Amino acid sequence: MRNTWAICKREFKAFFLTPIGYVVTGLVAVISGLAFSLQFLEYVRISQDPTANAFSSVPDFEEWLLSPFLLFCGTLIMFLSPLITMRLFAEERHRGTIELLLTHPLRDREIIFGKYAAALGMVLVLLLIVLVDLGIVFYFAEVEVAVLVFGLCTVFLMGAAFISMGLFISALTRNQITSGSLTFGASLLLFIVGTLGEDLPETNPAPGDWPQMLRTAAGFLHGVLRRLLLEVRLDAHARDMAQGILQPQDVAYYLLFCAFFLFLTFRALESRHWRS
Amino acid sequence: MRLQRFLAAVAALGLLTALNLLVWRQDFFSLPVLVAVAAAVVASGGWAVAALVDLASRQAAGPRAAGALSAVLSSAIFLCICLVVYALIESWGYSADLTEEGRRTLAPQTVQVLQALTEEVQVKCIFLQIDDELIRIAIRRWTGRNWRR
Repeated sequence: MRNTWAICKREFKAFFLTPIGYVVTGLVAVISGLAFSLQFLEYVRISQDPTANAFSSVPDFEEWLLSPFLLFCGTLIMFLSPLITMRLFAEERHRGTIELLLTHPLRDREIIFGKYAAALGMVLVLLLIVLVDLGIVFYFAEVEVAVLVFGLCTVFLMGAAFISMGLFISALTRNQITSGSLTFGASLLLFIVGTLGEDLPETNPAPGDWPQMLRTAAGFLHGVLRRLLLEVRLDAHARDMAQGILQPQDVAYYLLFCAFFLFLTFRALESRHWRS
Repeated sequence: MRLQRFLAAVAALGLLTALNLLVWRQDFFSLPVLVAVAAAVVASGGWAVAALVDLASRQAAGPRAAGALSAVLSSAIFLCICLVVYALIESWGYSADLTEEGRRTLAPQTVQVLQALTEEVQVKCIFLQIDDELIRIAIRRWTGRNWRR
């Protein structure tokens, strides 16, 4: 545990020894602040005259502003997570310091969890920045604390998922740019793949003149593919959570997603034993 | 190794062609799309077989292939465990509404009415705010056709 903490501290400090930490926090502060201000002004405009804006009454604050904003922050972290994770292992490999780290009396799990915790620390810093915007509103208006806290947990879980994937990709590559690009591509793919699932019809799309057996097989494959595409989408599970609906499967999805990619990172780091 | 690369390239090309044809024809089960998908599937199957053969031939050479095989197998098993755990949790069906007024929960009266239903009902939704995307999805679901503004 002490070793994990030492690695975590070292990695977390390293974010702010390079421009990466400042760039990421600065970008989140500017973009989330701007998005929140614009959305909040729009909410105020609608609230002043709801009927003129096709609303029967003042729209629900949590549903109309808080949840979409938190989901937006999760998406923003997705775009910025490659910047956080790309250097974790790739830079060590590039500089050759990975050999130094691996020859220390450290277990693989201490290295991986230390680096992962440091990256999660960065996500927490980003959440604190987001919390400043929400804190101002919290001061002036009545916001449901449970929904807000659970919404922030949702964003954190989304961030943890993106970070775990980035950590794995960083453990595979030697170059930071390659690692960052691959992480970004994979995150984006997981993000947009659900749209493809939504576009697929719910019923069996196989032509009616096909033999029954072939039709059934095509229908089964189509059903499995559709379900998989809908479930794998990273923000789909966050939608309900951000609105204050606690469903264990949504939380489990993110936890299992992180567990799977951390497991893959273990395997990637272990590969040095059989690669050499 | 050269055959593996060739098959991988054919699989990627097949997938790319299939996706483009799908966008053009708007029908997954049209012949050109199916041919491209079949080519991609056959090529990826060939690639997998070639990779396994290559791995098996290297087995005698040292622990490298065994290590790779063990990593792939353990990852696949772990993925299966994750999927099973997720399916189990999902089948539990628990849900909690954290809003103070219970805005995301059906009222007991509504639940009573729904439970009393004995036959299929038709639900009509009226949206105050018209969203093009929503209409597009709805029309496609109900008529099977695409809609453009």
